[in-house]
Amino acid sequence: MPDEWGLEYGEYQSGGWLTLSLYNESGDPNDLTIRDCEPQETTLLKRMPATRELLRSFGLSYMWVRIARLSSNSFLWEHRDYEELSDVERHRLHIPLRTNRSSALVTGGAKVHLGYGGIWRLVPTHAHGACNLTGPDRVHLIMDCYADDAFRRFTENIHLTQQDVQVLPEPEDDVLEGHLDRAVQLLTLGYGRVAEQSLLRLFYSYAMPEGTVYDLILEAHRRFGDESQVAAWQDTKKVMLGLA
Amino acid sequence: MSTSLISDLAESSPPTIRPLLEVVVDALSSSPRVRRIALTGGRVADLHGAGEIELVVVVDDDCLALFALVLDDLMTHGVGTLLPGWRENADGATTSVDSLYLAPHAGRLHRLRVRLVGGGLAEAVESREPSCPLYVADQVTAGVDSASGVTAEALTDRPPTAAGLLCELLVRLHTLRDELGVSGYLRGYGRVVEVRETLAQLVAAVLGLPESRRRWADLDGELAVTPLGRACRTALHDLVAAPVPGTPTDVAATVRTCLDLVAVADPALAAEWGGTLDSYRHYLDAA
Repeated sequence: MPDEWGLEYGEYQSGGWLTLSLYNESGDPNDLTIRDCEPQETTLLKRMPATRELLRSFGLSYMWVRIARLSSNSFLWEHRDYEELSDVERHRLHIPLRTNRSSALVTGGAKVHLGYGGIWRLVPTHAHGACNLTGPDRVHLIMDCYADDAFRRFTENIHLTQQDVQVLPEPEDDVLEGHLDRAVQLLTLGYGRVAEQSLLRLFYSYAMPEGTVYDLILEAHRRFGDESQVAAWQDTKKVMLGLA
Repeated sequence: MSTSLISDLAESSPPTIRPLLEVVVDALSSSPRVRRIALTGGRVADLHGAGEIELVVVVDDDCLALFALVLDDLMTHGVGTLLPGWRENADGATTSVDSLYLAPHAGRLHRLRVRLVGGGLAEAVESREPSCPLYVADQVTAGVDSASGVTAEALTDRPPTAAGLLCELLVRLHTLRDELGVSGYLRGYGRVVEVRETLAQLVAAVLGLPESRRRWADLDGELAVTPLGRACRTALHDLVAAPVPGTPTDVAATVRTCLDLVAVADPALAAEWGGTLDSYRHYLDAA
């Protein structure tokens, strides 16, 4: 396993989500900000002959391919992807290389553990988030692909089964109030980051309208009386959900 | 303004637990109401070894109860512990809180005991055993109204819920694994007895047995009443009849047996904690 992992998209995550590029525009594995391009194999992929052969065999039109490590107690917060890119249809495929059942992808109020032995398709323009609650590290191959006939043929048999999906419960109001109370107590003691993360993590436990976790953080700071944080999180919500 | 002493610790020792201590100190010391964090117990002299990591966290007296209330959040979110704390004991005088956590670090689990102490009693607590300061706040920050209506109830013992007993069981199994080859046969036997006792109490709790009927002598009769109880009794019998685990493979088998029994006794609890239990099995090579 390579050890030159890079941290990119820091504002979207808790820390602990690290990547390396296998296909990208420059061929440099540490060039990590995805963008539309005609990609080439990176110097890292050239040292991974089996993976290179696998990726070539798919016959897909790649935009970018990464290997991504999500450490224990690490999160990609609720967000949308591709917002900064041109209006071209593209999709994301995941191949789990190493995983555990505390790691999951959440979208649309449902939690999906991406298990071994399959390829998982995600539409990243829908609000989603990923977590690895208690580890060990989760490692995925992530392929951003342009939609073409080859992609459609490749993915026509990818389907979710009932067993893959855990529909999350909707929280009662008093449950959310309890979490808000606890967040304010943490803010009172000076633990702002933990207070915010405790609310962001509710996205992985409950089905809530889009952006609710950001609204809860706003409310916690409002109750604590920190208007500067209220303004800052209003901006953060816009960035994360592509509302700017 | 504060002084971190953890770097001093690193100069004298290159321990494997130093990065974990840094994470814990970073997580806890960001509050102006934390006065001091110290490493205590056997790991002061042996930072390379195994065994429990004991920390004393000294906080302002007037917000000890509030810290006790949020400690699990701090450890879960800030440190990434697997479980809420197993509140092993409280002294009844509401002067300190002991919580035991399992913290993943460098691919394995570490037992981390956090003792919250009010500033007024810090010296008395730390003077009882070896102590190595990791963090000392330079200045007292006054004027933060942190009481927030939280009473000393937060310091008292928690009732033995099924989830709490599961935390205790996982910690005890980890202790059993950690002490393999280190201690004598009788000590190992004692650890196994603790595991069995906790598991029996967990089964009794989830089956709703009255507190007065949870002794071993009562379990045969109490568990014989329902099919689920009889299944649990058979599994407990098999566990009690098994020899004391002597190898990691033996312990892995014991872990699987215990967690299988939990899944039989309380499927909802096992499902709710499914991800955590899967992680636990990975760390203990019992997957």
